[in-house]
Amino acid sequence: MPINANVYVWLTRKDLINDPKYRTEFKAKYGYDLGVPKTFKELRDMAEFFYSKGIYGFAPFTKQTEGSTAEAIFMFESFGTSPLTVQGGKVVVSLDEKKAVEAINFYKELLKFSPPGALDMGHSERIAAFNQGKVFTMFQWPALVPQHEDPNNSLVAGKIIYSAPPVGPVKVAAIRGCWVLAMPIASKNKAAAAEFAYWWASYETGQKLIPKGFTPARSDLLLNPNYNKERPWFKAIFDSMRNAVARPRFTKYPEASQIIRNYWLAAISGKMSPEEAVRKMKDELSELVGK
Amino acid sequence: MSSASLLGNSKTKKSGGACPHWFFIIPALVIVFAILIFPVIYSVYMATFEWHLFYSAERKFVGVGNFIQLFRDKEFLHSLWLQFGFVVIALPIETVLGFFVALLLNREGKFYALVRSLLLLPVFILPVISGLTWRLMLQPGYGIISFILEKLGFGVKAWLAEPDFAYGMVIVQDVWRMWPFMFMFIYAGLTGLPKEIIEAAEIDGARFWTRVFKIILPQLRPTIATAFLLRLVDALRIFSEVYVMTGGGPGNATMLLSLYINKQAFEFFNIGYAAAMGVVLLVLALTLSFFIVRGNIQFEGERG
Repeated sequence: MPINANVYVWLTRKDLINDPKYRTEFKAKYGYDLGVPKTFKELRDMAEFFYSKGIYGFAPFTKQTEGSTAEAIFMFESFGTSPLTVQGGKVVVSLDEKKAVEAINFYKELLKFSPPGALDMGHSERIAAFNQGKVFTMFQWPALVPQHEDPNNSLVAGKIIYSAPPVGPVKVAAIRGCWVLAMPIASKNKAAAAEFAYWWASYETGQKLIPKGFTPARSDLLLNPNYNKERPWFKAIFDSMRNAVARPRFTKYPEASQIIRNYWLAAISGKMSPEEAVRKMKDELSELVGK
Repeated sequence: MSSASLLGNSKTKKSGGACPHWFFIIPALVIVFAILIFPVIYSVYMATFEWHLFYSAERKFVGVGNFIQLFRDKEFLHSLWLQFGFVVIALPIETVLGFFVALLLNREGKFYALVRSLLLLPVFILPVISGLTWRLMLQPGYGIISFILEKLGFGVKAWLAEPDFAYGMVIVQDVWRMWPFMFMFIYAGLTGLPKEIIEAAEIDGARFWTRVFKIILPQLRPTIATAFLLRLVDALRIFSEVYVMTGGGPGNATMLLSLYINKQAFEFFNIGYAAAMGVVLLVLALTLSFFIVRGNIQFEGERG
């Protein structure tokens, strides 16, 4: 069971898309209304537009950590391909090279509209850039969203619209986190473990924990209008969950993740051509799962 | 009662009586065995298994298989190479810097005493704090080093995302933090040198470099070797500052051996394989230490 709702939520600056001057100029240039980017094309156009106005269009995640793997899978899945899939109980490499290269090239395009140092951005850099009002749009993990809404630390508190990520050329892919409530098969007291799980996942417990910062996984809590008044990202979490994509979980996932992010980062930073990076990523993943 | 009778002597042994000095050493031996000898033996034991922590019950004895695999592992060889580069670049710089600053500050006076004390500050900074500080200084947009490089015309860049630069900065960070350690050792050695010999050389007209190479360095050799040995052991296990600074990246550009061991052990859970790497690192450290000690450092019983 999910221990909380942990999934990509999309953040867009409300004040920027409601600015009449920006709206007029954007419509004149691109031929459609400025708003929350619903597609990758809109994301690219709006990022480019705001970059020309001195506001960075997009904040990537590029630190050498799991976050970069999540970003790679977000892009690959949005373009309709997965690095690894489970077929018949077995993990197989399923990356479509053409689609993966397209995904990398699109991300490289977004990097052109990102803040300086875009190739070394982790949580703290992204939060700082967004909270200083320098970034138009980006994804965020729910646990970190309250930092953007804290008026003592954020110039954009109250100025953010939350949504599911924009749809890629093939689908919407909101990357899901992995904090789970699990009961070991070897558990000697399954009844007590189950009782705890029921208690934890109950509506009543959620009501008690939300004021303490908990992000519930229950739809009745996420869609509750009372909570959405104060936490508008709850509805977005619900929408994202409907398009959630999990990273493949298997014993060798940490090694697989390392391979994916090494070649992803090498490709988006231009240190390797996307074609070569994808080919090597596939080769090394095949070697890993074939061991 | 004499100290000999308190600690026991050969006579007591021969008579088959108790041996109190061994009794008092036992606690220390137990501790050394528990925290040093046993872990080493257990590491060697672990290294002989194909052992994934998720499947401990299914571990498989592979003998020297992990060690053979190591030398086929490109990542391991790359990490070993980076580690080697780190040691041969950082340590000589720290030694040379420490030596000449020690020469410069080997003077009487409150000012020099104050400067000597201030220079030691970086050594007392926790490695993890040092790593984070350097990461921040290189951060584009906020970092002071990044700012200076920008003003020098290098543009705004994610410096730690540049492989060669990141590796260089890991070394610079280490030199900044640890050269005062070498300075401290060498300065202590310098103050212990007999001044008469250097003064006699000066009177005989020996120039600065002659005095350095013919008199000071030969006499300081045991001191420098000891400092170098301590730094070598420290440099071979460098971890936290690099971990927070670059995490081994970009790619694997700063994946020093200890980081790769950590990754295999605690991210990939290949504990047997990681133990084999640990054993190789230990053997490497012991071998290098042997060559540094031999001919440079004399122990009490070896003096003629």
